[in-house]
Order: sequence, then structure tokens, then C-alpha cells
Amino acid sequence: MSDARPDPQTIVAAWLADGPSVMPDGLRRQIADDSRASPQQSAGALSSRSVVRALRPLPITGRLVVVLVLLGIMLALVIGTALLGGSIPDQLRAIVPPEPSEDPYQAVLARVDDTPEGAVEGIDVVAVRADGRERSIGRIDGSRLPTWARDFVNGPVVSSDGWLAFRATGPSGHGWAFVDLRAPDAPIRVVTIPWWGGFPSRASGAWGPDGRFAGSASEYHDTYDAIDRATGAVVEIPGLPADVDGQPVALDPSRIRALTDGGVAGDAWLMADPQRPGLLALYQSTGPRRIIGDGTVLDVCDVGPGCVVPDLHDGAVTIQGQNGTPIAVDVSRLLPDRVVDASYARDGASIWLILQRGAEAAYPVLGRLGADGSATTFGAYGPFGAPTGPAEDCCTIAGIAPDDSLIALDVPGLPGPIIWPTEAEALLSPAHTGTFAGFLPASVADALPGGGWMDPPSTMPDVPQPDLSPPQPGGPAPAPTASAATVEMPSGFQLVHTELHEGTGQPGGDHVAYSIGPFDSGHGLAFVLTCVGASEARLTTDVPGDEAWTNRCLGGTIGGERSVPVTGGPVMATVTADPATTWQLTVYAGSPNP
Amino acid sequence: VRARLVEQAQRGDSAAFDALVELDGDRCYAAAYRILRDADWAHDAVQAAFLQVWRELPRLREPTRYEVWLHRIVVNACYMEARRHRRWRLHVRPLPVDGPLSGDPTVSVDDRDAIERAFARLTPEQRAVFVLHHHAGMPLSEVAEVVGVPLGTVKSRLHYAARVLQGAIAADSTVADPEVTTA
Repeated sequence: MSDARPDPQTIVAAWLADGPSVMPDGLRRQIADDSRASPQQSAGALSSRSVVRALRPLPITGRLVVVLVLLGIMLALVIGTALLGGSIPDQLRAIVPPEPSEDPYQAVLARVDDTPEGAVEGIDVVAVRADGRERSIGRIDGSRLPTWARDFVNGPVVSSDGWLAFRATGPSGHGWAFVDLRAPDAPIRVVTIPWWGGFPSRASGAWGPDGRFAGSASEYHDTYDAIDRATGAVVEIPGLPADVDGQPVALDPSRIRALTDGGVAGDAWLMADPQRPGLLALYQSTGPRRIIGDGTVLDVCDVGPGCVVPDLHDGAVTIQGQNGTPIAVDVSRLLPDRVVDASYARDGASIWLILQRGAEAAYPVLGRLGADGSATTFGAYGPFGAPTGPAEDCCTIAGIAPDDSLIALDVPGLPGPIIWPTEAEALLSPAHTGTFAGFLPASVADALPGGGWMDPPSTMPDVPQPDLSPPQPGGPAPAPTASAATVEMPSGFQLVHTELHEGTGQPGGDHVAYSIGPFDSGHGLAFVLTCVGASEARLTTDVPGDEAWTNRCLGGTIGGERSVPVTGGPVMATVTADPATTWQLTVYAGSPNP
Repeated sequence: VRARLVEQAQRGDSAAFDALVELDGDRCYAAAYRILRDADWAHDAVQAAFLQVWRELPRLREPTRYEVWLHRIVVNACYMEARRHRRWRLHVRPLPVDGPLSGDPTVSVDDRDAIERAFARLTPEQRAVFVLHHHAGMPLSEVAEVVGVPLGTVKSRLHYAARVLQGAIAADSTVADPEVTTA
């Protein structure tokens, strides 16, 4: 009888409740020791188990020098901005559109290597062409960053002339770092910003045309700093409205504009300060273009935050003029695909759309609503998506090249963006590894020192034409996308056995049981079963009361783990799978209760 | 009581700080464990968080806002810890040497596996919202304040997390119990 099964909410609630509710005594003692070790709280020269390092306070003379320098900078900025106030060119009074180039554009990615201790070992900066080939255009060694900002980097943004800005965070502070990729040996400038502890989950910024950069100055993205990369001079941009937490997309002489997760534009008016009528104009380097020069905002309704037009469905597209009533864009010709993201095209009138197709294994389709009323769908890529449930919003636009030739898509679960040439009918390359940082014209990117062009390492099964049906009979099974060797186990667990079965023959035949073991279970066992194929792989053990566990391979996704309790005797494992399914069982032994 | 302890701790009274740890430590650890799903990571996150609390307490202007401020620091520490281990990692659940797999028979082994795998795919930000609301019992407005995003974003993350987890259970049910769909 199936009615004995609790409803999902009850199951999730029970699962959530099942876990420790009391802090271990050892942790309690360590926290107490930490506070005892620091008689001066603000100095914070404390030790910690892994992450917190000492912060050495400046001597009093050093503090005086810092104060004097800051006062000097502030004075210079006040004088400078007052002089600039009357000479702002008229063209900066509109939001700055992306700067087009005669060159083909290349996407830029940043890849961070960690040391075994988790610090930043280095950042590889990579250019990606439309054909998917990659070239190294820089390597930033982690040792070039200040020690206080070497634990975590995010939010990379490349300028059109080859500077890279990124947020660098450490145990005692963080700042925006600026690197001139054209001069690999030049010192890195790191400008500190207020810190609230922890790593900021997001960092957003955009470059202006004059070498200045607007970077989020709080973890909530409600204040920004305009930073001069050459001098490190900082001008604070007043806070955005309290409910705005977004990405800056434009800063004209009167205001900064940012977009929230829900697509709502927020303005922080600068005109209120007569001393600073205009600070910076921005080129949009990352994210979709949601605002055009006349202030019209493009939005995609999200089921969570809702929609500017009442009663519209999730995925509805709206546009709203500066002071006008929002209207819904007709996307009915694109149904049943669902719009998950949108961006204005270069012409400021047409709209690029990312459509989601498929219920459980979602994949993106590129669409375009032309200013002439046309509705076109282009290539698609996939399938991929959440294997155990419907995916919401398969992907988001990470960036669009100034000439519209490339679109970078972020897809949850992939190690980096898909770089999508808009003129291509099908995607040419798999997902790339790294964090999207913007686009560079070829004339700039090709002049940067680095390596030669190479094919990217494959990061996922390459399925250029989407097809949600199971793989065709007779075709070779794709290789697993992750092997157990890449799995990090908790301390105390050690690899004791790996068994790989390469799928052969046709799917759909009888399942075959493969017995593996026995394994000594004296110290606890953990089984990791990954599989790739059209069917499933099932793991059972001969431990009394242990239930079978099934990994639904879903034609390209990786599986999960399975643990069994200690019984004191040897344990046999059995994997049951279709002969066409590729699976790998890895067994770890260790102490489950250290 | 808490506000008085906060004021004393702000002045450097470590005994008062210990009392604060006693008051809130268990809840913080429980939340951190559920966000990170790893005892060691939760240990490090909570230790780092309280270290941060001790250092920054003198700058806290409103002692009555201590709890929200504390949770914000704990959640940030969890983000930090999650990103320190941002290479793909399968979570292996420690199991008791003796006794049943789960303390709560409501959750079958298959369900647990499905939920764990689904939860592992959520971002730390989505997990934090889910745990703060469904485990810590915070109202959504307070969750928004703690994680520092608009209320709409909290709702969106919560909605997504719930769909993913419930979808995992539903899919598991469909496979493990075919008669459910055919009856």
C-alpha cells in the first residue's frame, strides 16, 4: 500500500530535523580559547583551526600616515570632481551602450587554482574564440596578492583594453584587485573595501571608458565605489534604495543603475550632491543588457519575486519605459519553450531570449524577437539539468558581446559558461571551465602574452543536437563525466576498491548482477556509484536491513554516494545494471564516527 | 539577558561572551551543519563565525540586533567554508556504529539518499534560506535580513529549493514504488 508513505514535506522536514542540534564540546572549548587568546577584540590576532590568521595592527605612526594620505586623496577628489562637473560631455548624459569593435570578440574566463590549504594558488586567464578554442592570456600568481586577500577570489571583470578586476578576500578583509594583463610583471593594486566577515557570495562591477571601475562595496550590493585603477583613488557612490541588491549596469552623470535578481532597476541619484554631478560612465561587461539609453527596462518575470505586470506567468517578458506603464512582450510564438532570460540586442530594440525546453532534462534554445516583429529560434544545446526533479531556469546570460556575436551562458552544475556564437545553428564547443569575465576584441586579446590556441578539455558529454529520447541502440556509451578518483572523502576514509564496467551492446536488455567484494566492514564503508547510460544502476549489499539504492543515470549525469552501516563482518556488494550502462563502483573504508 | 550579555562582551568580558556562546552556539552549529551537510565544515564555520563575533562586537551599534547580526556572520562563514571546498565533492554521511541508519523512521534510506543528492546541488545561498526558514523557523523577512537579499529573492530561493527537494522525493518514489503511479 502506497498510502503509508509520508508526503514529501514531512519527509524533508524529518530529514532536516535529523542531525546534530548541540555544538560539540570541543568546538565550545576552542571558541572559548579563541576569545581568551585575544585580549583586544578589534586587533583580532587569534588562531583558528584552519582559516583565521593574525591581523597585525599598524603602529601609531603608520596610522597617522594613512590618515594624512586619505585626507589628501579626499581633498584631491573634491577639487577634481568640482572641476569635472562643468565639463561632462553631453554624450555621457545617456547610458553608455556597449562599445562595438571591428574585431571579432573573444570571451574571457578566469580559472582559480587552490593550494591544498584552500588559498588561491593562481588565476589563469583564458580567451575563448567563437570556434571554442582557448588560449591562455595570463597567469596571476596568488603570491602576488596581499596575504590578507588570498583566500578567495570572485567577480572577475575584464576591461576592453585588457585590465582584469576581481574581488579578493582573505580572513581579515577584502578588496578589488586590478591587474594589467598587458604587463604581467606589474604590481597588482588592491583597493580595500568595508568588510563584514565571510566571503561575499557575489561581487559585481563594471568598467568605465576612462579606466575607472564601479565595484560593489558591500556584500549587499547596495553601495558602490568608483575606483581609479591607475591611482587606487576611490569615490564612494551613494547607496542604492534599500531593497536593491543588484548588478550595476549603467552609471550616467545623474545616477547609477543596478538590476536585482527580480529584474527591477534601482537608481541611486547622484544629483543630490552638487559637488559630484557625474562620476563615471559604464560599459556593461557582464550580464544581460536590461536597460537601454532612454531608461527602458527589460525584465523577465520570475515566479519568486513576481512581475511588474500583475498576473503574468513565470517567464513572461516585460518592458517598462522610464515613467511609463510596463507592458508584456508577446512571446506566444515561442511556446511551449519558456523564457528564462532576456537581453536587449545591440540595436536596443530587438531582444535575445534564452528559452528552456524539456521538463526534467532541460536545455537552452537561443531565440530572438526582432524589432521588425519576427520571432526566430536558433541553435540549442543539451540536454542537461536536474536529474531528480524539474529544473527551474536552466541557465542565465552571463554576458553578451558588444557586437552580439557571442553570448555566454551560465548553467548550474557546469564548471563554467557555454560560449554561444549567435550566428551558429548549433553550438560548436562544450562548456568551458572558469568564471566568465567579459569580452575582449581580438586586437586586444591577441596582443596579450600567453600560449597558443588549443581545443578545450571536454567537460561534459558533447551533444550538439538536443534530443530528449534515450540514446540510440548500438551507440557507444559515453564515458563517465566524473570518476571516483576525483571524489573527496571525509578525513579517515580511504579508497579500498574501484570497479569499472564499460557499457557495451544495446540498452534495454536484461539487467545483470555483478557481485563485488567482500569488504571488511570493521571500520565503516562508503560506496560511491556513478553511472552513465540510458537506464539505471542499482546497488545492494548483504547487510541485514540495508535497502537497495538506485542511481538513475539519466543519460549523462553522475551519480551519488551510498553508505552502509558497520556490521562487524565482511560485506558483499552487488551492482545490477543494464549491460549497456557504464558504471563505476568505488569503495571507501574508514571510521564513520571519528 | 542577551542584550546585557552583549553589552558586557562588547567591553571585553569574555565570561559574558562565553555565556552568549552557550545561549546561541547550539542553534548556530545546527544551522551550519544543515547548510554545509558536513560536521567538520560546520565546526570550522562556527568557530570562524564566533571568532568574528568576538572581534567585531565592539562595533555593533545596536545590541538588540545581536541575533540577526550573529546569524548573518554564521551564514557568511558557511558561504566561506563552502567556497573553500568548492571542488566537486560527494557527501558521505557518517553512520552510527550501532543502531539504525536514521533516528527518524519517517525518512527511508532511499529518500535520504535522494534528498542528500538534491540538496548537494543547491547553492549555499539557497541552502541557507531553506535551513533558516524551515529548520531555524525564521520568518522570511528575518531570513532576508540575515542573508542580505530582498524578500523576493528569499522567496525565489526557497521556492526553488523546495521544488528540487520535493522533486527528488517524487522521482525516487516513482522509481522505487512503481505501483504509486499506476494505481
